[in-house]
Amino acid sequence: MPWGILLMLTVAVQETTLSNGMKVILKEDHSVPLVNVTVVVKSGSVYESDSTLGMTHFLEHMLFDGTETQTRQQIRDRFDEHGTYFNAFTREDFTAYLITAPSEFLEDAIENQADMLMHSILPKKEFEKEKKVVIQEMHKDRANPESVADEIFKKVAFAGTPYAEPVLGYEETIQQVQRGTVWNYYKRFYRPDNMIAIVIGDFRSQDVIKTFERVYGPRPSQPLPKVRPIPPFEPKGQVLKEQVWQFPSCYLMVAFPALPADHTLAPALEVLTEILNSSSDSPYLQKVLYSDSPLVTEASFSYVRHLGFEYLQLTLKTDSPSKARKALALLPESLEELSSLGEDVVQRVRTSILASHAFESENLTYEGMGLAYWVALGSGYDLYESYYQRMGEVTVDQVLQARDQVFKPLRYRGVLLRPSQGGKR
Amino acid sequence: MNTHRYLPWFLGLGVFLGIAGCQKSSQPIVRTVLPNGLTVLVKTVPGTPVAAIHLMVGRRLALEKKPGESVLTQMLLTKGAGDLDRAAIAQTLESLGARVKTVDNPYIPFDDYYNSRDYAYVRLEVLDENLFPALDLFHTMVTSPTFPQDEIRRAKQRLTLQLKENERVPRWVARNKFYALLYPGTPLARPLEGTLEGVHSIERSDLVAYHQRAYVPRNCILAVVSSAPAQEVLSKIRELFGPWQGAGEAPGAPPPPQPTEKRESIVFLDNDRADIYMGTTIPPIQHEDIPALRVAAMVLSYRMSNVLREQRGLAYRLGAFTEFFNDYGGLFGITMGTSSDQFQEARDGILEVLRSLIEEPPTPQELRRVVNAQWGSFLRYHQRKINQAYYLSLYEHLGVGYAYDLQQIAALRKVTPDDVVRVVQKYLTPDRLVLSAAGRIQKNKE
Repeated sequence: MPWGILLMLTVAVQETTLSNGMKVILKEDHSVPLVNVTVVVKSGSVYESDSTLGMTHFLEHMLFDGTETQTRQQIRDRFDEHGTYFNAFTREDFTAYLITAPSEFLEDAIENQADMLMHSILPKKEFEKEKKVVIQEMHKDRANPESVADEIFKKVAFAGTPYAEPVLGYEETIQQVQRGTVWNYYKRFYRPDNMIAIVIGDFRSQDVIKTFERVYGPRPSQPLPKVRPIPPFEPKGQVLKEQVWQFPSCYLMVAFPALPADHTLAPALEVLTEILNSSSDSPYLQKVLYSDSPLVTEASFSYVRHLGFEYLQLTLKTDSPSKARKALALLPESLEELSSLGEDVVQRVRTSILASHAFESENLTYEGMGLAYWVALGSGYDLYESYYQRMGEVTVDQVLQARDQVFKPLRYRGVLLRPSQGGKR
Repeated sequence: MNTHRYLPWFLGLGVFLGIAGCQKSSQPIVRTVLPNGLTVLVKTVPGTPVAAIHLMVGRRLALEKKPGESVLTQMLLTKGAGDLDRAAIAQTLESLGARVKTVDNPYIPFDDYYNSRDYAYVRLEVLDENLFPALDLFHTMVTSPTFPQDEIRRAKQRLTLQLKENERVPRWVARNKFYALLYPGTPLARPLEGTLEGVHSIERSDLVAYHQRAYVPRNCILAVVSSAPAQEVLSKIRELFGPWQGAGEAPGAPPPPQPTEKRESIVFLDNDRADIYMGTTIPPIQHEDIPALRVAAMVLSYRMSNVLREQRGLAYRLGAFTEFFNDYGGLFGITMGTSSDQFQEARDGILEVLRSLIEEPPTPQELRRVVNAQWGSFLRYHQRKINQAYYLSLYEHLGVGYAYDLQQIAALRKVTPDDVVRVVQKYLTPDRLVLSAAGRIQKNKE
């Protein structure tokens, strides 16, 4: 492993659990007078019911709208006053609230963030307005072909599971959501023992721990919410549904069952994913994209990990449905060709993955956001740290084992999106 | 009043040393112009195991003969160069722990942040220990691309499909029409990604010729930020880039915008979403009114967010911005995405908030927030070495000096409410603003 990455992975990280049950991950880095605090709430859109789709994301918006002691404007002014960046994002398994503050204003920024998360009143007067803003956000996403394709893909591939539904919900469900329902959801999930805070940057750990203890309050007496377990993604056979859409391109998107992040072969599967994406070493790309008669204009694989629900996604973009189908049909033989994979390829790809990880870690905000995904999947920093350490040791055999686990037998669900009239509009 | 404890330190020491980064251990910037005209900037920043190389290529659209030459050239730099084919370049990048970026990803919001109608970029990040071999590869890619025919065909197919998709995306359509309204008859009026007709007509010889016009030493700025001693890096750059020849095309007088009465473009797209761009041209970046215009943009953003998003729920994303070009001064822009059926309300709302800057000049609190926000942005944007290299290149390109960010923060602190009112009345009057919108909007409804 390159020494620079080794150095990065050996940075001391302190992990502690406060008396109220909140986990705090602390990574001191004094090179820049900035601190990122990302608070992960284990409350994602998969915990919603059919009638409340989009509520988790809606709640995320509402938490910026006022607390017992501050109006919406006061919350924002308090962040803005100190040049603190603040934002939030909702995903299927969790919601994350992040701030990046000049270190001298860290305490105030943590207090303000905690006030939003723990003492919101979900103001009635902001409720209807926030519905409009969320619907605007839906319109933004649905003007983008990639977002539209992704939404349709999930609806088809993961039908019958909560991962089929868009995180933002639907206009109808957002219009109908009642404040009382959101309030109960808020009180159920937003509690310190259901949160993990990640703190990275120029701070002193003992000070930050004291601040968190003070501002996040005691552990509630009620037990933690129980969430219904979601069965893993296990498609039967090969299912590809064809659908007409409004854009002039064709997208073929399929999901194959994959491995959880804590599986011993998970790093090897990430290496495999990058080999399949490699413009030099992917036998699949050689056939569909880099042949004399390319079938697609873009092809990519991604390894997506949720809480017990993992898949490997293939996305193809082209100008005709028949080309897309032909391209998909070439996958099995391409995977077989990987059997002659060399150690040099695996070593290169490992280095590339670890280097990309180092590049993202230069930015505290990106690092906090990236870590949020990991801590939401596990219980702390351990999984993240061990994953990247294991990444440095992935072998050819492990990559091929990962291939066999995912692709043998070949099972997938997905969608082929095409314009009307066979590709011409 | 809150005063940042680091701010005075940076304003004094930072300006003196020419620091464009925020690391406490940054070294002074070394600048040189090689005999062939290439401007080189090198900065040493110990700390992270990352090094960054950034090349800025000027006049990207001005040097095009066919729309799309610039973006296709960018796409093809990594697809064959010197003795290396696409696969060999990719393998070398992987083995060095390097990643290179030459074009935006249209699917990532704000990925166009580092792009401009004024210049193209090549951004390379690499593990610090591999900086020198990465410089070897970088040099080959930017000076000796081979433009293989099969790679050109693939790139054209990909770009064509992308352009067809974009024609249905309100934000893309409105933004391109916005620049066309502001700079008619100039290179800035052209779409960054080219046109379907232009891309279709481009041959290999066009790309080779474009590369010979644009990728020449005197049209480029090379910036390297790493932990290596600056003189060692500079020595390596001299060895590699010193022999780089090519006179390119001498910059002629840039064509002035053609006089036009056209102030508005409404494009009908059958989409629930409508995107609005509104704005006007402003003086160059060095002009004395720029700090007040920047303050106006930031206060306008706060107020638009408060009134149009938080009170009226008209938008998810909105804001005001300034942008500067080498030959065409600056522009003041306002952008907002809204529902198509709320377009009229949104447009009126923008003008209403703009008027409020005159009727209710910025408060001391708003002015203080502007300065502090700039400081926070400065720290965030300069964390990554690749961004530090970008800002070094940008400020060289604009001729404002590497401490521009910090000097601007000092200049913003001096802006008064009267200054803001004055520049709003001078530049941002309704008769000066152009409007570009795309969505399910009927012209006759206006």
